[in-house]
Amino acid sequence: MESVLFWILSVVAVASAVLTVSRSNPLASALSLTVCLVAVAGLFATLSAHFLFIIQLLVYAGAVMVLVIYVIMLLNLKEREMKALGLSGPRVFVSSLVAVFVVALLARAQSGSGGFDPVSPVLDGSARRVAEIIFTSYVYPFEVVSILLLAAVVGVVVLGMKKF
Amino acid sequence: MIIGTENYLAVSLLLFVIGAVGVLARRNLLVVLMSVELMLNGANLAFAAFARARGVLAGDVIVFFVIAVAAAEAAVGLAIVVALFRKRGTVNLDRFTSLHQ
Repeated sequence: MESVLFWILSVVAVASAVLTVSRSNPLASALSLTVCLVAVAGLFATLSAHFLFIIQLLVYAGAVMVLVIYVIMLLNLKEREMKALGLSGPRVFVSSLVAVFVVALLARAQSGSGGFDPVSPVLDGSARRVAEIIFTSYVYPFEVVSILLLAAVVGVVVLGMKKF
Repeated sequence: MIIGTENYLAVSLLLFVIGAVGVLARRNLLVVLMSVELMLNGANLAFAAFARARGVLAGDVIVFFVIAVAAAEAAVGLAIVVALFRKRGTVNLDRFTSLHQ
């Protein structure tokens, strides 16, 4: 059962990721990316990372994607311009070479490492357990993130107001 | 079949590489930003899988921080896209060459 769920979710994630980078209409890309993010949230759930599952759905598939789709609709690109910005042959070829190189490198590094320990289902990633770690060992990074978010909000407002 | 860490790492590697191809091959600024999000997701999945492999929950905390920073990055990035579009009327990356001249 677990393994069937894993394969379904990973096929959906990879297929929608391919659609995200290959569609010429950015709105189609954004919707494919949303499907991919939901599938990754499901993969978090199969890892029993319940906190990450909820955060991924709320923050990524929810807030960030709404922002992206809002901006795409705000810009209202013309059909002709979208077509011109689609995938082009030579670029795809060169970047695929880079991709194959990275995959080969990592596969070689992985085969040399002698394998990993199996995924342990006992590790419970519930909100309570994660919060215990965040508010003890990682409390300073947590506060820094809040300052970062404040700085981002101020920066976005300034970028939105200013005439460059 | 037992699903091991390797399977999760393979999916995360695929997501990362597909995102990298998107960043390198696409010229639409919006799609490049979305591809960066894909790469971040691949890295997040690897963090969560390694956390299970090693039995330490710190990986989950790091993913939480990555998601928070990615949200800030997406907001600022999209604001820059809007500002650039107002100024130039395009989202073609090849047209943004003013530092190059």
